[in-house]
Amino acid sequence: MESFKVVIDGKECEAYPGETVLEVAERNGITIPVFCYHRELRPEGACRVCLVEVEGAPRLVTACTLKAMPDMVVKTNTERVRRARAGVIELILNNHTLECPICDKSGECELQMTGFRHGPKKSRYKEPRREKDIVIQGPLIEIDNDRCILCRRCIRMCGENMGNRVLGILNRGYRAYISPFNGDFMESGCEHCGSCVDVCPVGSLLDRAFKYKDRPWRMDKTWTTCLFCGSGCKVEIDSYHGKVKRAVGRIGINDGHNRGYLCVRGKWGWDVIYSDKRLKEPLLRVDGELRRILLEEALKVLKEKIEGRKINLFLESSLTNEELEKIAAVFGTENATSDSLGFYNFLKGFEKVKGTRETDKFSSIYDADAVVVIGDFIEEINPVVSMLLRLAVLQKGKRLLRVGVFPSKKLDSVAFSKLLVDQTEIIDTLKHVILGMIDTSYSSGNRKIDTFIKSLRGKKVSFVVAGTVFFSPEAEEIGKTVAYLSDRVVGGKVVAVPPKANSLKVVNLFRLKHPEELDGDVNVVVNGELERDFPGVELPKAEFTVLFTPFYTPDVSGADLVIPVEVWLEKNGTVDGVDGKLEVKTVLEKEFSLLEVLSQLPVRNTGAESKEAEVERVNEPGQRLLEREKGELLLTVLSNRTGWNSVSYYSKNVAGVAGERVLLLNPEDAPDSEMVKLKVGNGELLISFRKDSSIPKGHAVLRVERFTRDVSEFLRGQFPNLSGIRCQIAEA
Amino acid sequence: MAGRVKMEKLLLRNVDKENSHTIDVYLKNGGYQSLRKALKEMSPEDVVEEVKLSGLRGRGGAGFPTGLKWEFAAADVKEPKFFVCNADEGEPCTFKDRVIFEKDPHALIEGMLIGAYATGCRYGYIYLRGEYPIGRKILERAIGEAYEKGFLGENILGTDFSFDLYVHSGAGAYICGEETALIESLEGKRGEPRIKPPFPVNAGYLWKPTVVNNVETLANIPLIIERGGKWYSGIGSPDCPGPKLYPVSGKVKRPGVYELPMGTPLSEIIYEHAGGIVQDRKLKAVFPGGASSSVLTADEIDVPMDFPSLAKAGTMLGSGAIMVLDETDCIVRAALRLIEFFRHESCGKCTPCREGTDWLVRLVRRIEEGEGSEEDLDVILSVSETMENSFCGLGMAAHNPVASSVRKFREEFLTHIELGRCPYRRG
Repeated sequence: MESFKVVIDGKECEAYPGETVLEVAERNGITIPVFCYHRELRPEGACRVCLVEVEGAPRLVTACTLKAMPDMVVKTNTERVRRARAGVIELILNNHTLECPICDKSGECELQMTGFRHGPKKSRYKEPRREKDIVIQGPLIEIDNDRCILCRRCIRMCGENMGNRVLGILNRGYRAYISPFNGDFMESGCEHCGSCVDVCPVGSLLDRAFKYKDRPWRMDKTWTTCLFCGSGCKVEIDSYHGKVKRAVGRIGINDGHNRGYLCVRGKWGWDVIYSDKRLKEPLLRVDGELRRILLEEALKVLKEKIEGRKINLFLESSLTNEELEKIAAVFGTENATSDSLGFYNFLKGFEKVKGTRETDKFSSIYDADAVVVIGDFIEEINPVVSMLLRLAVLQKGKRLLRVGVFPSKKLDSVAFSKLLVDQTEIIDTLKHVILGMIDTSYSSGNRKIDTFIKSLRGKKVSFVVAGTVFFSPEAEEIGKTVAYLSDRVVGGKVVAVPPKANSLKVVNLFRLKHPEELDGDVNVVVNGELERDFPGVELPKAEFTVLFTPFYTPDVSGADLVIPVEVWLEKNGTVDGVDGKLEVKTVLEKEFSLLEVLSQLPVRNTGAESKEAEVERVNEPGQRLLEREKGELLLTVLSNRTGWNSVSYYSKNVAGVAGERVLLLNPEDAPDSEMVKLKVGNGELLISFRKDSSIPKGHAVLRVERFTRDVSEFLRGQFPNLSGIRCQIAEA
Repeated sequence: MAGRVKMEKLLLRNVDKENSHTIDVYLKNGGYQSLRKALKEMSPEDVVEEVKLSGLRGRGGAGFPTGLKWEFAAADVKEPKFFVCNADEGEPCTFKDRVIFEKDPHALIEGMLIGAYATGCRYGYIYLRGEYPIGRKILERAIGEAYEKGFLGENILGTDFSFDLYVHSGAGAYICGEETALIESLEGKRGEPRIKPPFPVNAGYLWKPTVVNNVETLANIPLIIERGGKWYSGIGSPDCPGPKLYPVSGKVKRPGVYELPMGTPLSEIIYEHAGGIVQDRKLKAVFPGGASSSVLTADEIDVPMDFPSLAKAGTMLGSGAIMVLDETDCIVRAALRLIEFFRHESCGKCTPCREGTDWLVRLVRRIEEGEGSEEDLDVILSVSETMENSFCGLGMAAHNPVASSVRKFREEFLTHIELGRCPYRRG
């Protein structure tokens, strides 16, 4: 793009077409105060604090809405501008409540700072303060309208960026106030991502978990990486005297790939540390009963039991690299399984075609013109990723194309084109796209697919694979197909967003097997929960079962030795996320440390552990595997956003907004009864259902908040599949 | 009344006839002939040229040249385009548009049709003030009649031109008279102004090109087509010609809507057409252009009522609504009433308007109640200066009645402060 010059305060600045004066000034170190402007939001021009003088314009203009033009001469610091600014700030301050001593925002409040720097030095307001005593409390968010300056950042954040439209303005003029549309957060469909709280310049939108808890200026601020899913979001954890007080994203300041956006888990799930289900001491089974023992004793028993034995390793994939490497050294890599098995299968297929397992960084979607998103329910599993995809369209003008089965509330409204097909046809649909990319005259016989292909031609394309794809029986075949397709478009970067924080390291370090193939003598489960991470899997018969876990999980009762470990908020280390090595940091003290326990165990020297065998290369896309007989439905078992990684089970905050367990059926597939009996293989589940026309015919979605025993038993033999499961329904 | 030239009634030519709101009466008096002429004999460009030649300026308040607006809209290539009539006449003492759409709705419809033809608009909306239920009935009936006679719908008068027209009732917000807020409201959103640019002619309703014209402006269009832009430009002031409706209210003997050439002196309107001040009292002050105009004193009323002359006099023509106060009226009270109106109608989007109107109300009320001080007057002027930086025209003008009253009637404000009460309050 051709740049041009504008003069701001006598300084010649380079500007690009479409930029606003405020953006140019910001880049050149010229500060213009703002309230309603936020770099992640569409400019509103409402607060009128960023007024500047433009040569030739009779009135003062708001810098946030003024597009820079060649040879524009702007002054941001004249007497006239300063007076106007102070006048506007005076108007805001007149009726602003002076609750600073007890306001949670105090110390990082933008009104305090801007008022101090640019406001009037003396108040002329003699009228009684106009109170706006409207407080709206949700389970996690509270709106105190008395402190609100009506900048509307929250409304734009919620409605436009997040696509939720929960918040709005009620009433008019000086009586206007912010509220969820029908006064209730839960009923208005709030996802509790906390972005509105983050962008609020004052203390009006509050994090209720932090309310009256501490002062922003005296807390220890630690940047770390959230390990509740594979998105790898950078988050600031604020703590005081070793106690976590809150998590903040700092939208617009955060330099992580998530740019400060968080989801309900990252924003409020931190209190898993203080869960009353935390395990406090090691337990050992003596005469059939679990007894408390000291760590030293536990270590002694552990050393004894594993010495010379082959280990069945069950890994949960939210561990740090350091821990995983230590686990590999102590327990070996050959006889392991993990909840990332599906993701591993996908990468295996990908590798067979590409010759490498290496996928691309998330930022590669910003270099592309078109982003093809493959997968469903990204907004549940990796909520921030779906948000970033949405913003790539809204802010960067990318063309978003979807291939999937189920509609997505977040992405469909901004998608340029979407191919929602039957789950059995995903691979065939991708193959049509491949043929269309190879042969420009190709016609698939389906107009939707043809327009889809047309909108990719000549464009630089990136692929994002995420969500339930990795839990499909076709994961490996989809991996092949995506790899094959990516070689046939311009650009062709592939971003695979892992389901768990360190899935990448797990699949690269361990030679993962199906649990049924494990043939060791001792079971070791690290960080996992069988029912959640390995639904339908039973621990193999073994001499001894060791459990490393931060919580009292249902597995504790079946273990012989239980050793408590820390949760990720208490860890230092790194993880391999989509965007490379990410740092996990903490200032918290911990009682038990997985790394310390492991380092006291002898390193296993089984000679040179055989490296992964060369994969056979194939040069063709994958094959369709899914079939369905008449009367069968394809079931997707989906953990709710709040329930992913059991966050809502251990976090009190998140439990308050937890979702429900319900079966969603297309009205045409639904029986007349209230409950249905769901049958998968030998498994049966009696469950209530809801008719949902957004679920395509022939599919069913079982939303669960937590993988309980009955769900796990129902899914017997399905692991690692959670999607595309053939099932039958019967009236009950 | 010597020297008074009785002007031919143009805009109000039909209103005195019986059943003037029906299409039969309108047709009998030469109605829809201009439309016929425009569609059959003129190209859209000719129509725009004719309107540009006429020098017609928007009658809604801003006085933007109508021909120019149409030219911009016609030049935009996005489809479909929309033609919107702004009938959200909500300012106190403004009641000129109502006469037209209640008594002569077909003149408005014909004007819209010609405008839509000139700019290439396919759909039209009349955004009607929510408090005009009778107007709504009349307009809907008139639109029905026009459909029946083939003036609306597909292939009007056998040409390629098609146009559908709908009435959209507002929900009682004055701000929706601002064109971008009107468009937001039309889209079903909260009525709040949008950032300009882009202007509605390029990105308006549903972000498509949209022409927004005032009722009175559109009622002029059939006249211009019928008799030519050149003839039209000869009426009234040379730089903003045409007939103008002046609604006169307040302490005059004959309040009402007067059609006079643009540029008729204010004194002539008050003393000759409206019959002078009630009980022949002394005139005190006049708000010459609606509730948001600056006040004029009795010495300043020789000004011609047109856009440039009133701007030169430090006030504005606005909608042309004339509010007359006599010597028994309290200017502080008048200013209070007006600013209370704006406080109530401010949408709350921008700080200066939302907070400024409220502060002004509190200040002026305190003075009116005798609790004020002299510094308050300076505060009023300074708040008014800040309000100049509002988002839209509402806030930019809302402080005018108060600030101008303080400037021109400072003595009266000081009397309130010194006496500790309103000197005009009886009993």
